[in-house]
Amino acid sequence: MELFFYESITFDQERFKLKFFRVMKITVVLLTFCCLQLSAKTFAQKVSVSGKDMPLEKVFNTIKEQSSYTFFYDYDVLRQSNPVSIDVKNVTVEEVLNIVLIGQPVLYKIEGSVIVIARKEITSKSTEKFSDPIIVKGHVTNESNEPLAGAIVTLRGSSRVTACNENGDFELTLTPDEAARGVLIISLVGYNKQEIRINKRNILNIELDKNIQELTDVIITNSYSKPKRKEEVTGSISTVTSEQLQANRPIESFDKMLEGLAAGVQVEQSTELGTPVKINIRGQNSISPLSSSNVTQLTTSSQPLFIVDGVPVTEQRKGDEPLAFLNNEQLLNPLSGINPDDIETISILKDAAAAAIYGANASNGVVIITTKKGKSGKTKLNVGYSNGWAQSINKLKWLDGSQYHGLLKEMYINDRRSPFNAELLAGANNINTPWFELVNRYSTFNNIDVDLSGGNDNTTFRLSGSYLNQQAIQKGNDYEKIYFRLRVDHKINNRLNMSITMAPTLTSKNALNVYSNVPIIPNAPSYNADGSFYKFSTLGVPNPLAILAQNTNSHSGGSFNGNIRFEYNIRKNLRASTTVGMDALQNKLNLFDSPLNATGESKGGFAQIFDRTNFSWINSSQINWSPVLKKIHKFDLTTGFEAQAQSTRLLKGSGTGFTYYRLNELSNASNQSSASSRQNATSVSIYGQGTYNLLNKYFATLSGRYDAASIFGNDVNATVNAAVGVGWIINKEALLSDITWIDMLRLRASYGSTGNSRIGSYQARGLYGFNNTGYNGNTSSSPSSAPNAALGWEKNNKSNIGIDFNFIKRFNFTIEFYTNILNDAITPIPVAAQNGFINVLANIGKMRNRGVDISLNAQVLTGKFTWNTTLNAGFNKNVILEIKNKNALYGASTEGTVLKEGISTSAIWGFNFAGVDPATGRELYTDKTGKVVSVFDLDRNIITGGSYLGDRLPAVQGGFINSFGYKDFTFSINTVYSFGSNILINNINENNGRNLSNRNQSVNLLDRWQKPGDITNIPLLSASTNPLVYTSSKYMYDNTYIKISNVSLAYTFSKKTFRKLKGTRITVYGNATNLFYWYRQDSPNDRNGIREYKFDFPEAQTFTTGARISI
Amino acid sequence: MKQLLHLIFATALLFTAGGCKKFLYQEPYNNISINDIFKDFEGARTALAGCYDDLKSNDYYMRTFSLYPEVTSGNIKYSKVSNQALLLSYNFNNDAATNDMKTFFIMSYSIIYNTNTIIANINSVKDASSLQKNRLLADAYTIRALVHFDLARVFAQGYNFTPDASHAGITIRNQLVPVLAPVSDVQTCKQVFDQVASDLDSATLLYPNSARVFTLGDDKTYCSADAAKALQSRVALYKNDWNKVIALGTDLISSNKYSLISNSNYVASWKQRNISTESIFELAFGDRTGGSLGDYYNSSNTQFGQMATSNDLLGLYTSDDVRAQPSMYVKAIVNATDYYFTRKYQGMNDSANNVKIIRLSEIYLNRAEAYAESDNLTAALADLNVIRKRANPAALNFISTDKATVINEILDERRRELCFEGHTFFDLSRKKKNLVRTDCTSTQCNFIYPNTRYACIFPLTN
Repeated sequence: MELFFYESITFDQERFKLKFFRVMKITVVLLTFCCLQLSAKTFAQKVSVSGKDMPLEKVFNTIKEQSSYTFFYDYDVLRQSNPVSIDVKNVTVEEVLNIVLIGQPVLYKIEGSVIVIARKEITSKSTEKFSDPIIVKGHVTNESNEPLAGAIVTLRGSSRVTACNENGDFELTLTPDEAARGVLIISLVGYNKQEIRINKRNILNIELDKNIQELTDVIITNSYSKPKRKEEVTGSISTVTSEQLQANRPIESFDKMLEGLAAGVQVEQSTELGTPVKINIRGQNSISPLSSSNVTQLTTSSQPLFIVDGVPVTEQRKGDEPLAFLNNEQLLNPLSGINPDDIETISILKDAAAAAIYGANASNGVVIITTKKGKSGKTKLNVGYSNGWAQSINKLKWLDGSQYHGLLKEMYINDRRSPFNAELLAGANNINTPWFELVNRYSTFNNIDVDLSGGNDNTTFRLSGSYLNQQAIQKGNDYEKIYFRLRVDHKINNRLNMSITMAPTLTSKNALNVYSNVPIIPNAPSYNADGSFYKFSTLGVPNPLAILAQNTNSHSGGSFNGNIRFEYNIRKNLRASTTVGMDALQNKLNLFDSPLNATGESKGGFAQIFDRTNFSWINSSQINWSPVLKKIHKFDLTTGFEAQAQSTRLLKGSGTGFTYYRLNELSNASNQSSASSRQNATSVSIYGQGTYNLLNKYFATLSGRYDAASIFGNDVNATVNAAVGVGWIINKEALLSDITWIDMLRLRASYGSTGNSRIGSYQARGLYGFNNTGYNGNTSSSPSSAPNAALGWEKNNKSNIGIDFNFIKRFNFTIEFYTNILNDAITPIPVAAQNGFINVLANIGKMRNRGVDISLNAQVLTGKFTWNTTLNAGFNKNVILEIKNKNALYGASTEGTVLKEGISTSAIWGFNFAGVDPATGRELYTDKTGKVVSVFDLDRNIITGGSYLGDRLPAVQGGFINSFGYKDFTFSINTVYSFGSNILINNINENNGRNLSNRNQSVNLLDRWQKPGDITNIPLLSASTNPLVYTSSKYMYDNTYIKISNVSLAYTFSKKTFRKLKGTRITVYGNATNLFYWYRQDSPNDRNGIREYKFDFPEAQTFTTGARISI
Repeated sequence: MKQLLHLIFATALLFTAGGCKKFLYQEPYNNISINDIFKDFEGARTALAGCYDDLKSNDYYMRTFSLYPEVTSGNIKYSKVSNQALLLSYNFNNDAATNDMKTFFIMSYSIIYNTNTIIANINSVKDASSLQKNRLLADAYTIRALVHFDLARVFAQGYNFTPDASHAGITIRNQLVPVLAPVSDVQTCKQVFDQVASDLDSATLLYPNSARVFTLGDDKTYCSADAAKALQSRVALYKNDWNKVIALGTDLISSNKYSLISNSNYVASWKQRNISTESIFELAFGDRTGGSLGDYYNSSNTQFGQMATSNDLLGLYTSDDVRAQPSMYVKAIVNATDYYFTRKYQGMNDSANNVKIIRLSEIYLNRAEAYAESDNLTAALADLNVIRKRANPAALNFISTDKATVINEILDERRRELCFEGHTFFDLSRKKKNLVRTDCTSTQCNFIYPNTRYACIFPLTN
């Protein structure tokens, strides 16, 4: 080949080209030929043999049929051999022979394509052995008691080896000496190797532990193609297995459980039960809305796309529905419809190569949830129960009654009331009602889950059910959930398979949420002398105890997620499949403000019922072709068509003037009104993905998707997204192939685009919305959204470079560098009110997320004492590269938001606090020029005069998960951390006295300025003379923390205890969440800081104990 | 391979089938596009009804705008110490970011946008007669004028603050502009008043050749030729265009279409939802559960009731005046203190009283002032005494030959008669009077005219 090549180098370009192509042709032919030769040995000669008590001759015939080998042997020799039981698939001929010839009086030799079987030279020792053989039987299972077929059993220090059959059983014939002192080594891909001393036992029950490192070798890359081996994947995918998810934790939905488990995946926790959680994959990939208060301000969704068994979960978002729904309806977390116990794996697709097949919905990443399915064999039953309690941690410290009275009086005096008048207005000074304690509690947690699975070769099933009952620590808030899931896989015939999943769930939730909304003044009693609830008549706020007793805020909902899938194998390597899935959610929200307390008093009781129905269906049909050309070119090509529709139906009824306060159904209301809303969205898509694998060493993926959607109304807008990814396994190159301690060294790179179509329906059109009141009985409508014909699609261009380095079978290290550039980012931008609207959706600019994801999985210790550790870190930096017209966009002065070139979209924008003037007690600020000015001179409402204070999203965050095993104990500890983010707290609990008369305040107010010379950060208390700077840096805290989010200790009763109940396995465990917090900026003694202010709704620390029985 | 081709073919067919386009077209259910709504008369008139609906919204006449000139002028004091409505305005602490009048500002321009859209799309309305189209247009012009005028009253100094009214007014929006268009500076007060006058003139020309567009509701709850005329009288008053005030007033009074409520019916007329005989234009509240302007004047409303009457105002009445307490004011004890609440909008919920935009009493007082200012004191006193004696038939005629005394008495009478109807503070500004609030807990009770605070600071809306 080289000869040809050198000869061809001439200066004649034309001739060179011609020759070059000829040479190439020959080269390819030669290469192919070589490879064919090679593959004759390596590829074609794998065989599968199975059977019980087979004579050796039969084994040899089976091998002959499946390979090109022929056997030579003397029949007499074979007659002395013993029959064998074997079940192996896809193993080399040598391996089969090694197994079947163990303990046989023969040996083999391969000469080219001929295998010669010859009589062994019997040594005196082996004669002894054979004279009195002992048969040792064994049964190998995994921790769920499933038999492990194919596990290899080797006698240490010998070549004696066998494999387990499909029931997980093996037999070995040993000498008495071996049976007494021998050690068996049991190994299987995906499990930790185990050594067991035989100790003269005839029957051994062996259980193998899963090896987490190796299990992730096969990963689910998307819902359209089959799982792929890790080395074939060119995109960036993080996988979380059911073990890693630790579904035993007392957390009500799996999205909250993901915290700290995958590099670059940030979970913005919420402390309230059952509410939607925000997940950022590699930072936030859509522009932040400038205003949080106006719920009609839509922007593109910042949530990832969640797909459960191929069916997207409908996101709970408010769209263009009427104000009646926007303002009062509370949403449930749609992801809580998935029982964490049913999850087999979660794949998080982070870059374009992985996610481009989801096209216009993949901008924020895609989370693929695959649920567990049944396995053929004995029917298994798992029952788990856990129970526990929770207490509040990091409570906000409030003023007590007399402190409050003192401060309020001082505030009135500062506001030029006479001392007498101030004393009168400040109320009682001898009452201290501990409202927090009155409305909070030690809450309980109960969970029971049951699953049953099994089947035969044609049909497998898994049925699971679960009941969760969780209270929040705040009274009036609790959460109940009932899950069911049935999965059946059935082989209709050799070619046609089907699977069906049905998962209904029921949710019930109460969310009165009394305290975090209105922290009540402490110097008022909770009850009157006659036992009735005290009323704060002048404040117009309700007594929280009265709300708990009299009001209603309850959700009762159900969801249904299901799909049916057919797969038809047209011929080898070619199959067609179709999936029809649906996702439905129905929720009824009942709100009742009782006429007995301030919430409903003026209306004679106020009831509202919201009825929400979300329904979506999806159909995708596709063809998959995976040819292997000339043995070395492996392709996997998928193309398909998908149609989906989503609809939301809302119905609201409300009523006031209840004839009898205990009857709060709307029919008892003297005034009744109703509203309804409907939204439909449809889309059709064509997608395709091709992967190419050359020599199992070089990999390429090309994927793309065309989406057309109805969301833009009349103008059906379509978009195409595509990506390419390449991978190279470096250690398979000749140079490195000798280094055996490297398991895999791989370089990956990808580039492509994804989109974000989730902006709500019809946003580009100018719309009139109909008002429900009307005028004089005439229907009325008003302009509701501004026309902006120029609105177009967002496009997120993502590039990713990754290095995977797995070594000494125990360490997996991955580092990835990424840059995501969001073009034509959509956000509502404020416009001059004079033009008729205050905001309009527009493509406003360009944004970049750039960062590094690092993860390390290690089995630090194996053997008796095991230690597995996972450390991951996601570094991300967000910057807005361009804002159209070069103008920065500012949120209202109350929001602290900005969209400005050069800084992050999650920036906190405001004014730099410079302390309190010791002379006057007024706040001081550093203005733009660096000069310290009084708050009166600060142009605090011209937010453009502010400056960058901090970022709401962290620079680096991740988790550090450790699990330890010793004998029957396992102990795990999850640590999560977040560095470099800030939080702007709601100033209402700690400002300058202006809210003092309405509600209780933080104890920090005790440090207020009182007289000239006082050095403090809290100004003089005044309700009317202190200007309030909403976005003062004094309200900003450093949200850098390390948290021990979970600790768990489990004990599995050893087999001995349950010898009679063969296969039974019992595990008991204890679990504690939120055990420890470290904040970089800790709170001053007896005062509040980030720790206390971070969550409005009290944070819980939960302790649970539980047991799990597998039969 | 054959099967593969079949499948590909079938898939492609499914996609390109005619059904696809239909599948991808989804009607909005909750809203309707601007182009669609003006296709027919039915749609166009919902847009006009929307203008009225928005005028009576919380952000406008049902709360914010109506309360503003009351809290600022000293007609009210708060009976609550917390959650006080329009406290910033009461304290003259409105600034760009925290501004009581922000929602009013936004709502006003939203209504103006709606009227401009109606005017711009009137020709695409297919099934309306030209008479109906004229009414749609005339109402849109009247409402556009009213809103511009109200904006100017709140956010600009009085028309005669500068001799040629060249001081800052507000931004005029007399046509649709692209939503992303930058907003240039405000126009002068003169330009604003000219725009208002021109809109009212356009409306006045259109009304005679128009026909009713709404089937429901009393005529007086919609704009009309007389409403436009009455508003012109008010606008002329603010411009010191005395002759025009007299001419328009005389026109309206002598038409005999409106009559003053008698003394005996006076109090009752404010209690009910009935259309007042003297109303020229009032906003219908209809059946509603969302509250009313009266909520703020009702001591039994624990959430909103707080706008007690100040002693400054109560002291202006003689005891036998039907508008004095106890007949027109209800006493309530809050926190051991006596407060008096006006009965003007006492009805709540279904019995909520319509907000009077303009009524005959004002026309009398406008004309009285115009007569006095044009030195016809006799005519002025005649008009003044009509109102005085309606309220107190036993009262003696007010007599004076001093122009200033007469004018001051007319202004006091305006305050007595039109209090809580959105006039008092604007009258001070227009007449260049000092603000004097004695029964006052504000941080800034008094102002010497001129003062920048007579014009509310523009809110930052974004």
